[in-house]
Amino acid sequence: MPEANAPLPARRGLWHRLPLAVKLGGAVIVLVLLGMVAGWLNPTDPDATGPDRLAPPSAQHPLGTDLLGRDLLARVLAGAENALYVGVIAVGIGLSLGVLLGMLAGYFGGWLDSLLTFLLDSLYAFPALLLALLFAAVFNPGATSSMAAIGIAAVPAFARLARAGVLAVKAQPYVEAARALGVGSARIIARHVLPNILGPLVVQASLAFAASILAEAGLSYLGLGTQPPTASWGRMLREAQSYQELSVFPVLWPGLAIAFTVLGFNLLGDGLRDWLDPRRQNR
Amino acid sequence: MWSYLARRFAVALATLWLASSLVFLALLVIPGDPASIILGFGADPERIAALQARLGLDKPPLERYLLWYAGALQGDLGESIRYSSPVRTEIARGLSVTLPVVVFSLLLATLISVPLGVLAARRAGSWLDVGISTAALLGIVLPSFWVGLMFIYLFIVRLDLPLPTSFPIDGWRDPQRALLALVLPILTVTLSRSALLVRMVRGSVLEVLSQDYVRTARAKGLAERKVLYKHALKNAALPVVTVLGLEFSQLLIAAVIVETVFGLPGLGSLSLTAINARDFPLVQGIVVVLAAFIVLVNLIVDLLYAYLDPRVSYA
Amino acid sequence: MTKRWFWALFLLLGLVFAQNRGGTLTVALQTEPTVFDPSQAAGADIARMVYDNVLQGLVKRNAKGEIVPALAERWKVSASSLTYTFTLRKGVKFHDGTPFDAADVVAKFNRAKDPDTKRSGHIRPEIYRDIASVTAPDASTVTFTLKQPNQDFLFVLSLPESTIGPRERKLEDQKVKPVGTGPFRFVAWERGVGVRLERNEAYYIPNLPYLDRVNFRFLGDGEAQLAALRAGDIDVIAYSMLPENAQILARDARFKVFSGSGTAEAVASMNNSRAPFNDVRVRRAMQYAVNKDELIQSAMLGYGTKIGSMRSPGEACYEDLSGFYAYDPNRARQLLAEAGFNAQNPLRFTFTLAAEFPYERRIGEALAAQLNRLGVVQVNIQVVDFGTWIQRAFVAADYQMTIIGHVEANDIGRYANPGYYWRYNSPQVQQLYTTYLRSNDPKKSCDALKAMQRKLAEDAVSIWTMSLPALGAYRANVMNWPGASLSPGILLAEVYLAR
Repeated sequence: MPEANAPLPARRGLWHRLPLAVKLGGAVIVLVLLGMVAGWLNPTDPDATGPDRLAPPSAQHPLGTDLLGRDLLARVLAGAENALYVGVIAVGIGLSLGVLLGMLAGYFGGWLDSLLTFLLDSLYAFPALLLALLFAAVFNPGATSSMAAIGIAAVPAFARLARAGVLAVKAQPYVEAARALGVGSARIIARHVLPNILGPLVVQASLAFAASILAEAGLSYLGLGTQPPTASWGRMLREAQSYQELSVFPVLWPGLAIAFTVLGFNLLGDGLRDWLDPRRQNR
Repeated sequence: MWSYLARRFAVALATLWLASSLVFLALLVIPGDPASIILGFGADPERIAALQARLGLDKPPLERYLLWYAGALQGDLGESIRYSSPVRTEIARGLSVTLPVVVFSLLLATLISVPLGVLAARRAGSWLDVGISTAALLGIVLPSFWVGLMFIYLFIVRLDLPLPTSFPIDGWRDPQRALLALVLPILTVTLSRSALLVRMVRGSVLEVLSQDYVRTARAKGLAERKVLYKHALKNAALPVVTVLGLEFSQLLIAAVIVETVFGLPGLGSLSLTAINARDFPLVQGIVVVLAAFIVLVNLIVDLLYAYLDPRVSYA
Repeated sequence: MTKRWFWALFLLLGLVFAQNRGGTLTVALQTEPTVFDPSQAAGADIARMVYDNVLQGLVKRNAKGEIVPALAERWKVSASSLTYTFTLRKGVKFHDGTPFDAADVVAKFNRAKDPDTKRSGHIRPEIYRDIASVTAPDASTVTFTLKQPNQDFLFVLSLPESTIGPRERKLEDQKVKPVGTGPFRFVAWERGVGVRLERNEAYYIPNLPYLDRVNFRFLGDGEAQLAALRAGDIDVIAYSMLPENAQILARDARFKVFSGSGTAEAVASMNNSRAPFNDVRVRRAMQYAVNKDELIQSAMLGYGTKIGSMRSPGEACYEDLSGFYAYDPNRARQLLAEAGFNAQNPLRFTFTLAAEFPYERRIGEALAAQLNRLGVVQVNIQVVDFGTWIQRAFVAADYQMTIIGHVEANDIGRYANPGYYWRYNSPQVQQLYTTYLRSNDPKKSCDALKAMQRKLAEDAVSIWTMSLPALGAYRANVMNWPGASLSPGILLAEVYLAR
């Protein structure tokens, strides 16, 4: 993993050196965050039902209303918060557990490494969806339980990156020197290892974020994603799809929101990967 | 080679044991029990107890666990509570639908995405590359249930193609309709998987093309076509094979979404039903069969690795 | 001239009749039962498939909900209402070829009334409690002697679980492949896919049934049903069709949509023995806070019937209480204030929804929004899967508010059972129900039932949100479809396909 110890690109002129994909991805994420804030500020209650049902966009309801007469703008904005929640849970669990286990395996090696690698490899191949189905039955269906399952399923990918990073850094002379000087393991990890594997982890986190939003939509289709009354793009899309032939707006907005957000996080991940790849830099 | 196989086998057994034990534990803590679910609105504590006794569910968990193992070691996965039928039969039925969908989709996806990915990598930065990459991204951002329902709307409601949208009641005894019923599900899975694979292939070909030995080969004056096929493609195939292996085991269950859209009685739907019905012999059986598949696929991937990469040897 | 017309008509009728025969009909059902013998498990879908199609009882309920002869040709009730004597049809054979006679009936009801369910496998022995003895004076006569008069006795005999199979047949076999006397034979349960029935060539009513084969196809998802109907995979969506699908299909001349009042009530249950709903003021406040018309218009797109108690308009002795609590949010807030809840101290409770049921989930979500609109209520929606729901809410009554459809006809008697998950204990209601059941006089009996409906509404025991519509659609070439039926079964004997 030669890229792990490559220096981060210079900070000066950062914006100009960023690839277009990162800029676009970043813009989408800023939009999602803005949407979330707008959702908080918006006086319209996303769960309140009204007499205008399946209404097209109007001054009162800029994006129209759904079957129960709820304001679609308020729901799409509220969905942004939920999307962020979903991603944070899944990526948070995957990243924290993955980095912890991966670094333990890489840093200490030996039987611990073998055991953890075996467990993580098994988990990597184990169908994430089956895990989500089991979690939904044990802890009630909902965004938290299903995203915990998706997060756990994402642990091996993060762990691999972390382990490879640790192995690469461990062999560096300055780390050996630090160790010889009696610097503690925790300190070495925090000072030398973590900063070096940050790049690939951010890339992976960005892709996992996109995947978790899609996973939530898929689980919503099975009735195991975000539960009412919380507005989730996945659930909105799933519910509105059954009456899309009566009105297209309730399915259009959440669909676009999902597509744009997933696209944004994917672009960001791709762009960051290209940007952080030293070989690509040289070319 | 044999010691390698023996080691793999031991690891496989450990995986099977671990997976089935963890799932058994999970099933113990899930609220609800098969008897009360079967009885539904007729459930009252007395009747539930009577049915539990009839189903053998009144035994202590440890005894049930050991009994299940005793059976499983003899190849008997027990009887499904939900379906009053041998677990083996039900899993075979699920696989008879899901395997064709998964295998054909992955095959099709590979056939589509490898040429496209290579093309995009060779012309990296060109409009062709941008076009292929953008299309691939679009394939990724659409939830598969939405794509499936759009396919139905497009092909059946609008174009009125004579395709069924659900599996025939006679199953594979009506092979023509059964095959036709798999067309749209396969297309749906293919779309999302090839989108993923195109990006994968493009990335790994690009990476290989920037390696020193490829540059050397080019410098030696080897024809571009030869460089591509001799060096680049073979090496780029490694990560693709890994991903295909992983996708295969994931899709066996993840197909549940497409199965629901298209009314297919596959393995994914079976797992959903089994978990909802707290049918522990069936859930256990599915997990064991899945684990066996994962081990098998990993083995195949390893062997392919040995074939594709001369540096890898299991001797 | 007239004669020629007569002959032409005659020929035409003959042609129509000949063309009625044969064909395969595929009907979509929402859920897949675990058991196909209604005496061994509860579940409306079991009855929908097998009732009167495969399994028959002494009497049956037709599409209008009337109790009519089935395996019994006629019956006599003694003046004391304690003895019922049934004369059985002769020459009837079960699908496995064994002849049906009085011994099968005696065996069946001895098993049904056996209180030891572990031995009998029968789901509800308590409803047969009043049977003192069942005897067969001869092979085609059966006499029931009751311990006390029971107004519902014929209704009990018309229940799906009172259907009769061969006396020698093992319960385990009957469970997965029921054998009966109906117009169709149960051929196979294709697990995960559907059920296949075939024409019973030896059916005792000549020329019936018309169809050669009937397939029941399990398709839980509303959109998958719509797609399958459009693609020609299925001919009928039999019930619980999504209301939006009704609107979509109504525009399409290839299909016919039917809707009507069935026997299913969507009941938002409140746990009467637990805070906050052990306070009648709070329960009444809920009634005033719910706008049922809006619920029907929004969640169900107008399909559904407003009701005010646990009975649907099509059922006998129905009392129209749909206006008992007119929508009045101010009144609701006032009642809640009396009970100590206001904007500073809002009423908070958990509303449990079972995951699987599309109608109830949607109605529940809309209902919660209405209650939240009061400003003094905070509903916490909790979704659980059906297995958890059965164990927690239904068996253990560990819930505050929940919603589920009660499909069975004449199920108001559950309110007289204090152990039922409503946990409603009213001696007055129990008394009224006893009067209804035990009275010899139909008028008096009916009055007691109406009084019971009123009392339930007064006590605001549950929120009866609506009588769910019997909503479905079929291809235009399906003839004689029973449509919105009050029978527990989808009666298929006279359905045919036009060519």
